[in-house]
Amino acid sequence: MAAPRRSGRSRFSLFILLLLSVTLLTLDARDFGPVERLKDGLAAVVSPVRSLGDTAFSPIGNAWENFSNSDDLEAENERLRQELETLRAAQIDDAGAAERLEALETELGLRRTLEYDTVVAEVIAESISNFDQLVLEINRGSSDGLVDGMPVVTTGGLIGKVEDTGTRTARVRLMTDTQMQIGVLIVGPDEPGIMAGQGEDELPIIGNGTIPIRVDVNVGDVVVTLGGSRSLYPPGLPIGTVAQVDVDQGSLEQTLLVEPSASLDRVEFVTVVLYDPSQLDAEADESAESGG
Amino acid sequence: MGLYLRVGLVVVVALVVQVELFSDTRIFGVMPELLLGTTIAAGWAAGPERGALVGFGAGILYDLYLPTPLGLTAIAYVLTGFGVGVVAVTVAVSGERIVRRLISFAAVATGMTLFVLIGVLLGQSNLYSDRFFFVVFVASLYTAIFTPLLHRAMQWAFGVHSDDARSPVRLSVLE
Repeated sequence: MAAPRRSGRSRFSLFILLLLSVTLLTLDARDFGPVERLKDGLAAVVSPVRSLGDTAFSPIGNAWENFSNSDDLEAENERLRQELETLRAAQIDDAGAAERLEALETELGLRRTLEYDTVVAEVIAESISNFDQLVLEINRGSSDGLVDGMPVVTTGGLIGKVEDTGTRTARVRLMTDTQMQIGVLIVGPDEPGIMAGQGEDELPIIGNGTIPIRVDVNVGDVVVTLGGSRSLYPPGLPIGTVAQVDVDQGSLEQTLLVEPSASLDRVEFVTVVLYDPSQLDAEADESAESGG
Repeated sequence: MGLYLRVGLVVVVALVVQVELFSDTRIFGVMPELLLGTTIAAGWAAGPERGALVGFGAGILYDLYLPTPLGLTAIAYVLTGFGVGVVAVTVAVSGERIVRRLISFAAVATGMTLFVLIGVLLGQSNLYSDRFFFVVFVASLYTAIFTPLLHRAMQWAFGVHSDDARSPVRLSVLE
């Protein structure tokens, strides 16, 4: 009779552990404060051991990366060499481009990223998941002013947004992730749209039936963030260029693929734009009240 | 060294190796699931109850470093640890070493599938992609390389001195 009794106890333990897991899952989803502190505390306890592991294993990791990526690096070098030549040729044409860009920004009411406070962060880890890979971990957190949802850029433009902000670290979800949706403006036709990530190795997509066929979009058109009071992103952050235009004659709509202007591979440093749309709303309300 | 300390040591070492070494040494972009392997080894060495308990601890620790919600990995690992414990007791008591290896391979694949399935049900739709089956297959194979080591580590942690493939679980559960 020992075995059935033991089996009953096992099932009870299973039930309790599952209940505990579901409870944590629910509380975490609701950003319950004590659970956040528990996460921070547990991470802090494991942190010294992790640092030790990092010191011990990073040479092996680097060697492996050099070995496994050597072909990719050669191909990338070749591609960059070609891009450099193209850019040198284009430099001549770009003499008046800055002036035109400024005029365009003024016309569209775009604000430059430099108008907002920023925090530079180092990427301390890439995703350690086999399934959720489009995430980076950075060495800045709420103590540096970061809040979930803040836009993250590199010199090339927008790369993603902040999430899971801890006290000293945060995660950056890249804009190619399928969970990402960003309000964008296609400069040229001045057409707003929603850009959605399509996962690793796939270009983000705009449209899915929202860009009418009458809108004159061309390959190479610049795509920037749309902004607005309900957007997480300030207007005018560069995202990329239109790489492909697919026209559906049946529904009279078109779908666009966007080539990001910022490289999303091997990112080492990023800049977090301390942009909080709710604060902008509050400032607008205050100025309206004082003006009235 | 106490039982809990030994088990905790094995789990923490597996976590550090997983996070700091294997996240950088991927094969075809896939890394082994050492913590899942540890859970499976625990289920095999100590039965369903302790398998589930180790799965919970390992899952929660791993969840701290994953972008998915806290508790998601824990659920998948609890179920896997418990399931392997049941299999070890009822099916594979006298199994050969190769059987243990095959069951561990299948358990890793099942644990990863559970993780994605539960995640998608909870709204983490990005966990599933066209590469899903490829990732599960490669990760299961990659983890299988370390299965014997993980089994030995868990046998040491639980104080089981059985070097053969006969499940020591029966010693504690079926007596």
